[in-house]
Amino acid sequence: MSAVCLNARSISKAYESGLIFKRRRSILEDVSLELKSGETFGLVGDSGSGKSTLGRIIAGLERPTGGDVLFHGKSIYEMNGAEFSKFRRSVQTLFQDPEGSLNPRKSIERSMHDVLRLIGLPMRDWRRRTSEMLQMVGLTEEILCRRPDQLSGGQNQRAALGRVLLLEPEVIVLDEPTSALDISVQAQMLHMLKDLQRDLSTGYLLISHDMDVVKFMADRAGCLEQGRVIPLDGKSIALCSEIR
Amino acid sequence: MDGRGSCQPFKGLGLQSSLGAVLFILFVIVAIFSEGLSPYDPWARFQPYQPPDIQHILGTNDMGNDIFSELIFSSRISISVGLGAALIATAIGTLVGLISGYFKGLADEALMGVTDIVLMIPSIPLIIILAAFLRPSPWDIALIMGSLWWTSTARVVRSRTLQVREMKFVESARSLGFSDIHIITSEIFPNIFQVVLPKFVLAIASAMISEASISFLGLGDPSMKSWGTMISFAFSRGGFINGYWWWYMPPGICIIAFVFSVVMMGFSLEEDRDDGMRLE
Amino acid sequence: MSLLEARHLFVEFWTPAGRVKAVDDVSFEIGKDETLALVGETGCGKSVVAGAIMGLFSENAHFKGEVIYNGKNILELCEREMSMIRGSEISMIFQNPSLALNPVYTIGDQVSELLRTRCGRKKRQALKISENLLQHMGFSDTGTVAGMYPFQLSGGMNQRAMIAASMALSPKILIADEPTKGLDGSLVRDVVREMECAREISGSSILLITHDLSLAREISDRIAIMYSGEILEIGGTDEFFKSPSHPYSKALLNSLPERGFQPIPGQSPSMIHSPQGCKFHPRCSRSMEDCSSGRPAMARHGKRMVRCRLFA
Repeated sequence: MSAVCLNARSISKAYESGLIFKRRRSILEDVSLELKSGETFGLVGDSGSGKSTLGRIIAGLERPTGGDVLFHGKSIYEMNGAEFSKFRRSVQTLFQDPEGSLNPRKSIERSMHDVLRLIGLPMRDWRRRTSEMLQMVGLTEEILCRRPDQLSGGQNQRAALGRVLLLEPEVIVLDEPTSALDISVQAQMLHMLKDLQRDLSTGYLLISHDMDVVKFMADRAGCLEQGRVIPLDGKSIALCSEIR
Repeated sequence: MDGRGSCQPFKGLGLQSSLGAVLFILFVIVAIFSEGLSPYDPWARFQPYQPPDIQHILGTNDMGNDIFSELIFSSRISISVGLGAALIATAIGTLVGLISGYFKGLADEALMGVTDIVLMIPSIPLIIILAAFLRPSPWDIALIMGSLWWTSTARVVRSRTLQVREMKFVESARSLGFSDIHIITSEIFPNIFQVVLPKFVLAIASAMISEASISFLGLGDPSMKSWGTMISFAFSRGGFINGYWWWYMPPGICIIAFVFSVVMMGFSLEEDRDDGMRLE
Repeated sequence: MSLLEARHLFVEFWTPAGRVKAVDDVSFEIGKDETLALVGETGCGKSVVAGAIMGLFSENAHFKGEVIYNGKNILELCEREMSMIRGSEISMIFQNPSLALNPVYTIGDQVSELLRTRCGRKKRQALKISENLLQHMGFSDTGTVAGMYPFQLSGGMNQRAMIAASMALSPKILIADEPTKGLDGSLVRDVVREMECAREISGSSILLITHDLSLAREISDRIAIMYSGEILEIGGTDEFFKSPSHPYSKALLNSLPERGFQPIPGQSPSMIHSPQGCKFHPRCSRSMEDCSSGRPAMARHGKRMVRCRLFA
């Protein structure tokens, strides 16, 4: 029975627009979610249902209008600088667009080295660590000197994943990680993610509109519908009306 | 993806910008190596009012200075004022634009307010007034120009920063935990550089012309030779009336040629942008 | 009797990095009133094939081969003759409809544009016909929709409007280039329905270009699998999905969720330096020694054509 490491409690997010006549649009309402260490939680829902927003809130990239996010029991909004930095490193995000995550003007190597510098690894270890990383995500050394626009979608997504893994996070929020990829590349990516989870005990919050992907990857799943998360027992589809 | 035609003498540059670059470099070499290239010391006095001949290619002025030597040495002041002012203007503009565009909110409002105020200040009249009262050196003029001209660069950098800021890789960088300073310098700046460079280059042109104008109006420092002062003296000492074309045509042509070279480089740089960041 | 036939089509792009062989000896035919799906992954050259048929080439493209339509090789036609064919006989719809439609003209204007310019219809008449077309596409309040601009409609609606526009002159062939890319499940179903509808009304044949196997399965009669610029297998859709012949086809179907997301090892080859011999052999589980020497030719296997040594 693994411990709960991330806990979203009663999250609500609403957008207000207009100066005089205010219009309030509620995306999330009283949403709660629990993620245990080393497990995959699949979050499904149609586009526009707010699942990406929920993912960002849980990763600390956006603030909700209400509710709390707890990391190992402590609210991330009450953390001091050092604790929040630690949280940031432990909860990472992989985005949908493979080419977008990496700076188009930097070679893959530079992007990797920036992160290694950030975590304070001494320069003499950079080469070794980068090599280990490439092996883990199934890339060869020759891509290091290339820039994102010279690589395929699959390669870019792997490089982005590799960069995230350099931080050795506890949880990775996977926001539609394979929807922009070809079928065979998607298959490769999903298997790789599963293997990595087995080796590194990383937890995944998998956000996807594709039920098949969630069924393949997730241990537990929930459906985000009208701003609330409805748990799917045993990954049954019956409760989730929007999914085909 | 080249600029003009398929001729590419230098890697990545089209014909137009290559020509501009060559000319520019020539001028800079002349400015740096003035001592070696000029036949005489520009302050040395010879027989005045000499028309062009073998001894003095462009003749001598009313003080007896060899005009060709003057021309070569004047490049120094003209070019360095141009470069100096452009550097200051671009540096300030880029900084303001980056901070404004990245942090948005209060910083943005404040900085854009300052930009608007500075925009309202008419730069040339101000320089003329200051020059009339304070008799500044060319470096002071460069400083003043730089402090007034950064506004358009700031605007352009700001809007590009606003664009780049929303791109996914910036969000990734934030998510990885990089500091704001790192993101601005390492992630955003390289992506706005393509916008800053042509602005810098064109600012050199503007600065040069302004310096020339001010010197021409007689407000420059008479003890330092620049192309503008040469034309000014040509005017005030009777060169125009007497038709001594070798007094005013050479510096005029130099100004035009230098500005032309700079503009050719600048416009080509603005067009040949393959920044790989099309907004799909 | 085939409507359109591509014979040994080659398209190369000359780039500073080398010659990209985007289309490497592609041959297929489209019959009357049938839907052919051209399926392949990103970068396999399928969109280039579509562009070739329409005569839309970029500056650095060099092509060779024939595309026979109405007894003529349309690759040899001049621009003027080609533009007469486009829109009226062969029409194309693109992915990302919101970008393909001009944001400053109304839907009605854009759907009726071809009717006004090609058939010389008067504006009101053309609009009436357009509204009819829109109705067939499933729009209920056609009068209002015709007066709206693309940004006011959703992606799915814009896609349907674009299909309506391309069907305006009842073309014989409709080329659909990734019509459902980026669309959600329910929208994909809508687009599928509209395309079948369009087919019924004007009796057009459809060349469907997609990477979505399930879409191909649903609406196509025949299917061609493309890999690195070549067609590896071409045949009837139902038989294909029941038992694919080419190892790549089999591997592709195995990557589908229904079969457990089984990955294909390796990556797609470079189109500048392609592998010697069969382009798929480095990743093939059934490759033999002579797979690396000499390209296998298309051979008949039952009712299909397969490019593989196993069937030579």
